[in-house]
Amino acid sequence: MIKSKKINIFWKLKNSAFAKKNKDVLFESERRIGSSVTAVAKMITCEEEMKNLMPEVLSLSSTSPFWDDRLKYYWDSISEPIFEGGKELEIGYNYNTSIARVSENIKLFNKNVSEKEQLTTEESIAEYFEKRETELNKRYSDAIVEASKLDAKTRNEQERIAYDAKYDALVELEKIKYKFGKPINVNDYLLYRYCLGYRDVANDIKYIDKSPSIRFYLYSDAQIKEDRDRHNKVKQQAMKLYLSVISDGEQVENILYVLGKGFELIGKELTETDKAEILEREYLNNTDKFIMVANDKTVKDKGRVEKLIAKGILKRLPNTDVIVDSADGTVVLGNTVDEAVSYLANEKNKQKLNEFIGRYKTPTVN
Amino acid sequence: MREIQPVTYNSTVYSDVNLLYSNSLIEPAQLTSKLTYFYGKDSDMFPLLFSTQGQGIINKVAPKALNDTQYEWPVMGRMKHTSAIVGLANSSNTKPGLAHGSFEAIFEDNWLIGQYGLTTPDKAHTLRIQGEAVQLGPKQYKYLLALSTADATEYVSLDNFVPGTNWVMTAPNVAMVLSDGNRSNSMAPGKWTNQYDIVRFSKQITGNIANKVTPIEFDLSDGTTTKLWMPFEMKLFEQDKRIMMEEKLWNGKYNRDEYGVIHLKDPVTQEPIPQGAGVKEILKSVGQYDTYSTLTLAKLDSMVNTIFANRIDSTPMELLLYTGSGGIEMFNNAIKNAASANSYYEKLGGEEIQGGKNGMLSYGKYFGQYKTISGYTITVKQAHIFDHGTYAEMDKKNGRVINSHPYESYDMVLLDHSMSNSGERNVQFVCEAGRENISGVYRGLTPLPASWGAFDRNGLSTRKDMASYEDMSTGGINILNPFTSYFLNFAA
Repeated sequence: MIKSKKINIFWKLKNSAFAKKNKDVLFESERRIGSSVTAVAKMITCEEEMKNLMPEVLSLSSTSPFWDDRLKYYWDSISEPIFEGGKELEIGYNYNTSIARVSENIKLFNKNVSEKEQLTTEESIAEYFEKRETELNKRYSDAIVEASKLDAKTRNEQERIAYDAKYDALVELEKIKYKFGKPINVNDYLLYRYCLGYRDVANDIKYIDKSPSIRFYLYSDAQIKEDRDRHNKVKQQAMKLYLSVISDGEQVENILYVLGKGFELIGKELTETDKAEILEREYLNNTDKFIMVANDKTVKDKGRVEKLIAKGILKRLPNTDVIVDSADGTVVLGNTVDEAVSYLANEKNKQKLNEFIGRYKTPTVN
Repeated sequence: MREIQPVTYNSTVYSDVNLLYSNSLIEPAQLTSKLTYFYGKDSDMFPLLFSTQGQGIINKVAPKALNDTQYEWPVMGRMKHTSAIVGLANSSNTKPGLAHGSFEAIFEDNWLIGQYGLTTPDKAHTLRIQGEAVQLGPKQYKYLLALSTADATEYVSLDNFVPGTNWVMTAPNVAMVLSDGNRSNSMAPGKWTNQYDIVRFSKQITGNIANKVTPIEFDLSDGTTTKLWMPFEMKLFEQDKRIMMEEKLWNGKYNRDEYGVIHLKDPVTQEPIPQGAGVKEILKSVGQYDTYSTLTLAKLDSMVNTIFANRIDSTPMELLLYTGSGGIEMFNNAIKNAASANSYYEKLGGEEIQGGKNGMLSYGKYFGQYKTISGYTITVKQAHIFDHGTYAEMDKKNGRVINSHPYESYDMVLLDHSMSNSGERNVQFVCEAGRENISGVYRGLTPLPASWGAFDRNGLSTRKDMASYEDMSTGGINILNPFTSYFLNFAA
């Protein structure tokens, strides 16, 4: 059964300032997928898979005494030109139960799984791989949604972990496909597999800037769908949170202050509807940050700090996150808003808190 | 026994006698007065400075407007004859051109000209462009096309219409009589831009350091030796300055954005700080770049083929492959492995094993040149900056080392130093006329060392016991035609 699947390798747009400055006269005709120690090692360690897929590429039997040298030579020599329009790769598989080794592998596989998961036909093999891929995509998608609730630094870390986990799992899955058939286009498939481990290729357009060495990215129709689904999920989550807080005027105000919108509120006679509209704009245009703030258990306390800053009672030192008393710079509440929250929550500083509240309530005289 | 320390570092602003004491250079007894360089001397470290500035290949740019260090040079590419297709105008047409019928196709630009011929990407069909383009939108130009065939069953197969695929224009065919003229495309030179850097180094001293003698004999750049401290310190100062300049020429990053704005500013004066692209960035920006893990002859050939694909004239090429010790080993191994694979054992063995002195055998001979199929010779040139420069030093400290060589040592840069068709050297050092290198002394009451040169030794600039040697240079690298050079980047 032929199960076609396409993916494209595209150029990352010119990224050096020199290239951008000279973009009208630079004639960059091609970029090359070259070799790297890590990516080559990843391919070579898939020993059995290479022995099944590479003999026709190398025109050499895998039992040849020169096999190991020639295999390494091939991967060390890789220098595949990719032109400006990108390159489409056929990475699908032809699952074929009539091949003797495939029947053997099916028997081995079935020994280790429940009756429900048994592979019986070529269709069931294709379904098995599709299902596994859908599962890992879902795991990734869920992890990204979860990460969106975290602060920027942790979110980036979690996204990175989810990204690595997804592609590690994908490679593990791809590594066993050869047991059940053969790629429709062996050369394209091997290049795809190589790219998954090559430092100059981002496996997902979202991570195109994760390293300055990235010159290419992989993109498929399936990925477009995946991105839309993920985007939709995040939007839904944001909408749910919006609806849950909108009836609580104080909570809306706190969220807006923490989102840095204090300047739109301070000194203005805004109605609940006005504030709800500002919040709606934020949840639609600044979704990730909105989710993170709305989920934050300390939003009330942080909102209080931000209100005091907006009113000029406290001061955030320029180009830092350090928060001090505006009237007395020696009173440092903390190096971050979290530390300032702890300061104000501390029983020892109750007098100071009352003083700030008193100053907050005092009308400003110009 | 006292443990000898290899190097002591001092980052205090002023050099004074305390520096000598703190660095244990004033000691009662020494085993030898000759200085031992644990890591060798830093000569032969500056291949780019040497091959450009050192050979007088300097392009002095006249100063331009305030704070502008940009320079341009006109360039000419090769005439293009191709256009990328967007698709068929009528997507339901599955057999375009069948039965001698015309059909419409959309291209990304209007480079194609009416009356000219056109060949499909699979080279199986020739067509004629039956009129000029009609613009449908941005990057969409519609053309009327007709197959040039006698076969009524021929049509253009649909795989030729994959978006982005290039079709090529051929000679215009017209009728025997009543033909009309057409037009032609033209191409004008473009201009490339880069900019040079302005760098400053200072050496500040105080007290009587200028006249202090140490028990160690230092060798100087001119081959003489001295026991005076300052000439030696100035030698180190100059070497360090050159290492950093050389590193900039290789690794510099252009810092003006596409609108010409420099965002890096001096925090005190708010003046922009220009930095130019170095060799590696220039080559990477034009696609003269590949990565490698273990060098193979196939990879070397691929690099050479790319270079010759970009050059169609027969201008003699002087190709030098700059690399560190790691790269030299890779180069040698790549050729030896290829020779072994071709069973040239006897010849190789004969070269490698030779009679040495005193009845001893010597083993080892290494490849340093490669002759291409086109008859050009690539010569390997060891660039110590790749082994011992600042980037290499950082690699070592960060454990980015393979076979005792830093990753940087494996990078290979093939530079074409030939004369361009304009009679200039392809690789040039660029600086500002009048400010190539300026140095001066800011003088207080501190005695000045002779190595600071013949500056005014009478007037004072400050009442303090201090003096400062100030050095300012402008400089950058320019490759007139980067398409005949190449950067092979070692990728871990």
